Amino acid sequence: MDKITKNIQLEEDQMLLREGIINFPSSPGEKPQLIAGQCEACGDIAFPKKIWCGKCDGKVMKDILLSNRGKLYAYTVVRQAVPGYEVPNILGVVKVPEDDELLIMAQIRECDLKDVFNGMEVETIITELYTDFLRNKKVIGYAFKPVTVN
Amino acid sequence: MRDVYIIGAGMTRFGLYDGRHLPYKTIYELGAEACMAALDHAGISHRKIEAAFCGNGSAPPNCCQNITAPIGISGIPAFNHENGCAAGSCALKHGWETIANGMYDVALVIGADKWSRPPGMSQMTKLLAVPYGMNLNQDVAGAFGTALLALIANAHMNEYGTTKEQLAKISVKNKRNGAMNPYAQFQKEVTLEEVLNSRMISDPLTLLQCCPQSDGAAAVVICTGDIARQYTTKPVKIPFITESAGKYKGMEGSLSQFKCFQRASKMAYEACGIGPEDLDLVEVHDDFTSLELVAYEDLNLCPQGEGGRFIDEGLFDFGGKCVVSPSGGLLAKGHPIGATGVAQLVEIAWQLRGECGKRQVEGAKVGLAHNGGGVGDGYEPGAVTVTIATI
Ligand SMILES: [Zn+2]
Repeated sequence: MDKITKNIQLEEDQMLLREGIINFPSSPGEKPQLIAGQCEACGDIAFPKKIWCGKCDGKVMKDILLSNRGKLYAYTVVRQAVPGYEVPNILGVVKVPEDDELLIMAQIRECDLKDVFNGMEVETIITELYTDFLRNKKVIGYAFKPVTVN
Repeated sequence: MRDVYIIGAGMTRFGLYDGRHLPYKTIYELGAEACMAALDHAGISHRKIEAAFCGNGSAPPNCCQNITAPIGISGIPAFNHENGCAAGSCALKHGWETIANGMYDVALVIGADKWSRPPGMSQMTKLLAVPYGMNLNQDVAGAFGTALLALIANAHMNEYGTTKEQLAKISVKNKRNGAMNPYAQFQKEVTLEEVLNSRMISDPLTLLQCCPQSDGAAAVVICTGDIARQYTTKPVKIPFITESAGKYKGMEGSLSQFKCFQRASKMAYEACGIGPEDLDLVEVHDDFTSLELVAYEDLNLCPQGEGGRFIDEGLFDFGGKCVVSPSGGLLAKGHPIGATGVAQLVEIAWQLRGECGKRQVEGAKVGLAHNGGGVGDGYEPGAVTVTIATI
């Protein structure tokens, strides 16, 4: 198991989307990764992780890191959302190499609306997702962006 | 198991009873209106009802009891069901089971909802109670329901070449049917251009491909065969109702089909000895055009991936292979969450009895209702029911 850094220094006006689902980079060279749960008995992978396995009798789920890169399986441009979200934004479903049945819903950032396509290579990023206007905090979570070839 | 029949069916017109679009009415008034219509349609006294079952999503506790008390029905077992957009059909399934199993002989099934101004709780309070920290995908998306149905449309277009025009034609068809239904919220036809050019909500779904916010109620009287024969020469039999819930990874990595729809319909067909080719009409859960599209395929009304072609060829229109959403469906008739599953059976009961006037499906003998709702585990609906009805 790789080390999982569960802490990130948040600003006063920020909060985390969820605890324990993102491995934040601890050095500039590292990339953020999503933390999934894997059943010790059958190996099934779930994101977000489950407490008990949904596929077998297993009750022990260990943390694993998902690849930082995946492929955009489906997308839409959301033009109307609940308050706190910037629109239009691209919302996608990403597949990662670890498990073809795993569908990860995420906003697609740093991508022009006209440049998005099915099958696009994407990578995990940390970003501000929305404003929780009950707590008046900016919510820090995961998203994906197109992989840029240099 | 005993056979179960619908002997009376009634509903309010669906719409916004906010005092602006339609006269102001509470959810209880709407519910009572539907119950009285169903009881009068059956010609049975309200004093004969032994138990009541109600699907609802917006009211404070004990919706059922508060609907029936003013019409003289109280002191009997009363049950309230919440199951997202499938609440009404889940109430029906519960009532159906109690009669099939011999617990009661006559029951009232109600679906009622009011979203323009739910009593006891302002809509804003309810909205604020939901968004943050409960469902990860909801928090990530900010518009989970609509966006998910848009993603399903995108996946289907990508995998099968379905076009945005084909999707839009589903709305044109259902609004054309709704224009013949005096109980529909929208009773006006729309053109393909109007659907495609309406405001984009979540690509490729435009406003006219999304169901409206609605208020309304529907009710059916269900009973045993012995009692049915005392009241009508046209009892509508409900041979089976199946319920299935979406499961994590139940989509097996594909957003273009709902395995829980496939499971629920397969179980229903097998239990009744009826196949999709026997169906004269189907009421599907068309809250968005893309859901009607995948329902064609998951209910096996057409082969996987061919929903678009069937729409182009008018095979789900009047005069086609099987009429889908003759009532106008959720897109035109409206979608008061908890009422929808019961209203689908009201339409099917009226159709099988030949009482639908301009939108009558000629010689209809077998109907199917498909009602799905909410979010369970993963991306599939939390609940989906398939109900078969025959005459
Ligand atoms: Zn397992």
